[in-house]
Amino acid sequence: MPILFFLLFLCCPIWADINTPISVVDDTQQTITLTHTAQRVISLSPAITEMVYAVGGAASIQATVDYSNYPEQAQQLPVIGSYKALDIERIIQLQPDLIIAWKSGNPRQQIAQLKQLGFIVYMSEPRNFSDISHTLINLGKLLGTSVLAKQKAHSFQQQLQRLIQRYSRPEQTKKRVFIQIWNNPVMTVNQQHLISKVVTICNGENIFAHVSTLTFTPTLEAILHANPDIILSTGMEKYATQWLQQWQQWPLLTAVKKQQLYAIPPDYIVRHTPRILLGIQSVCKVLNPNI
Amino acid sequence: MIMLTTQNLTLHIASHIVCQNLSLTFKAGEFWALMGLNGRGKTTLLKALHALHPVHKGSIYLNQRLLSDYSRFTLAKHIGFLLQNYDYPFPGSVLNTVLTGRYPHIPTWQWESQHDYEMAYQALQTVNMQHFTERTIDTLSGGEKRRIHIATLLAQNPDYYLLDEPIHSLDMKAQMDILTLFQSECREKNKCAIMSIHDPNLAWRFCDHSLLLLADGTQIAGKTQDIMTPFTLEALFQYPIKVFKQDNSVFFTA
Amino acid sequence: MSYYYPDKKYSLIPFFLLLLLLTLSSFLFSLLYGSTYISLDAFYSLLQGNATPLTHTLIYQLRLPRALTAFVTGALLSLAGVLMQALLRNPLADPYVLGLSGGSAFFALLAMLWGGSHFWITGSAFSGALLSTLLVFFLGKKQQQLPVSRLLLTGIILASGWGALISFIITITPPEKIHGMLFWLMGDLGYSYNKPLSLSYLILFFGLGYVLLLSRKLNIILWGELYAQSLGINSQAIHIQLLFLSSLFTASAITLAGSIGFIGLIIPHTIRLLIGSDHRFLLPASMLLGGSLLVIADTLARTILSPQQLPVGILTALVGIPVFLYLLNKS
Repeated sequence: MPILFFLLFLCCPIWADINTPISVVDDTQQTITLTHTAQRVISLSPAITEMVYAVGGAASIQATVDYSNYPEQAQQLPVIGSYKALDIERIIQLQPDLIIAWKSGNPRQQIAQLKQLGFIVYMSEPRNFSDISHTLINLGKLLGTSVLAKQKAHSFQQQLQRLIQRYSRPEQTKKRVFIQIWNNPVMTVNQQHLISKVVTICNGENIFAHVSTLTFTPTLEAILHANPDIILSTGMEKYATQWLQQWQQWPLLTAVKKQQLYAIPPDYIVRHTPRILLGIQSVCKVLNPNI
Repeated sequence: MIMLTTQNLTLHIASHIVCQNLSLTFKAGEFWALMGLNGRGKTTLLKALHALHPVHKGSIYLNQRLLSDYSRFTLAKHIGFLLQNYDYPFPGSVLNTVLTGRYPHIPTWQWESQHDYEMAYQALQTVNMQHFTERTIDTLSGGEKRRIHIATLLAQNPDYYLLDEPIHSLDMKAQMDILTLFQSECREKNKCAIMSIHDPNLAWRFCDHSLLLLADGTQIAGKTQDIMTPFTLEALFQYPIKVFKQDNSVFFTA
Repeated sequence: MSYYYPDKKYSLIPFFLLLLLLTLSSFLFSLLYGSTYISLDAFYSLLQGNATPLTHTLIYQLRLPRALTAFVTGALLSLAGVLMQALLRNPLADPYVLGLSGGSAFFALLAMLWGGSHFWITGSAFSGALLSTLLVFFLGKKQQQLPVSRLLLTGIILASGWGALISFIITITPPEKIHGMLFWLMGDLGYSYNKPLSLSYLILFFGLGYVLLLSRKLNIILWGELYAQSLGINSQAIHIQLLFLSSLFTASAITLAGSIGFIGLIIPHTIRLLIGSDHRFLLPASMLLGGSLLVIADTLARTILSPQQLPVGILTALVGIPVFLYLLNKS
């Protein structure tokens, strides 16, 4: 008998999920209401795809966009264009009951069109680490996997706090870092960018933190003048060494003198997903070899 | 001996025949009228005389030498061309425009000499435009522009003037001035002018020789007084022509 | 009767001295200004051989090569503009009107899309420009003639064809590569320090010499084919030379700095408004003014939003257009 109660207790939340309307508030402060948990989900960015799998949505995700390379299963999904050019007709054919969009990445007009067509669109726009756990929880509610999602969010927060504490050295002088996200032209980011925030956690300081544009092309002169201690490149593996090689022609740079040139896999560090923890770990190891 | 000779010359524009077996000599001192309906090929014939149109059959000689044996540059010292129309995508000053006429006389590596400037200035005086040297050409009136182009031709100082309708759309005084000018160039400076023109009365009055391209594809050439008759003009214009005689003058009218 | 006309070649000496002064000042401006200002004193001590390594690197390895590249690029584009305008007898013609930039841009973007190295990008840009010239030449030719109107029409049609292909490439390009493409399309001098500049110097030097020899012919070509021929010029041969010289100049400029608009259009006209259309003066003056304008524009491009840099094409438009409109209005 107690066992039966226990079982009932266990399945109650799930049962409730299926039958009562679900409401969550997305990152644009719109309330998303579903009559039942989402069964046919389309993700409109590689990061969102990762998040959906993270909260156990493998069964409900129907399609995604180009470059959704993680987890491995995601590569088998049908692709409905790239995040900046969606194939609306394919989306209609798939009849999703939930579309998860990326506000600053997806074309605004196509999103508006999808809404007009009557699709339910959850807009995600993560800006900092806490948004990751908050999005995990929201997705869990929508997909009916709240238990797992809450677990994931909790463990993400814990691991994040652990890393922050581990590398917190307020008394130390910060290492000055140049973050190279693209080559030809060389591009970098300001403090608003996730990578720059990771660098901050790791006791570093982005030399272009103060610039007002999120991603931009700095002059070579400005880089030489700022003279970073470390250069971090987030190029894809096959390019990263080539990118870094180019700095060798400026021996004036402290980073070159001390050969502090490192490549970080871009997937770890440019996506707002729990995998950012891996990114933080690898950046922090590079910046703090002694810890 | 300055002479431009055509021998059995046949010219085509596509399949249209301009002249057939034309054998003629244009000599220094002669002023030729070239007449024919619009589209009959007057401009083409003038171009051919400057080696600017392919010869179908026969040949053209300048001073006993085949025209095609001359380089363009040398030819330009002997033959000048007054175009029917000019446009001015990059209008320059009047003096610079007239100086272009000196091009064939200046060796590749040299600047215009004092002599070239003098020739240009004299040419401007001849057409009575010497006070306009610094004006931009596109600010002038139609008649003034024509005078500038004539001055350019005079500055070029060739033996032969090929004039493609030099008096079209000009007022009567301007027409008379231009025709008088070329008449005196031929008579006094021993030049030869070949001019396409539509008015038989002006041709009669100024041109000692005429080449009539008739509507049926044949041509008649000779002294104007001999060949210009109501009969030939009717064959040329395809319209009945009347003639009036008064004192020594003859007037044709349609 | 004798008439004396003051010789133009001496009356223009002050004008050319002024242009040389402008060129020197533009270089000084670009050497002193950047992310950091280098004072005249520091600059002077640099010339005497004692400066901090940073200043030394900034001036000799970054700013000087960049200024030189900018100058050569601007000079080549201006010369190409003068030649194109003479060839097409059209004041609206610019180095790009016959689809040269389109062809080179298409091939450069293709190389970027395939992740080609810098060498491949510049190489394919150059071949693209020459290929589109050959296309225009062979498609525009008719019965051994190269009628200018047909040439222009062929060029414009090909240009729009290239435009469509460029749009296609941009559409299928992964977003992270787009920025590099846009920079290239707007012109960028950021990589001057590892460009093979010497070939461009040679092209500029010998090219200028050659077109100066042609310059009296060009003065006459402006009046039209028939008129030029009647004055003793083989206009057909000149047209072919003009087509290939202007293509060569444009292709070299594109290879140095991507496609930079406006220079080839604005500079020749500015000079025409100031001293007239005589190519003996127009060509060298356009070269000096075009070179200095691009040096100034590029210095602004890397300073006004420092540490960000802008594509220099934006600045040439912003600097060049008001100056040009002012002159046009005044004349």
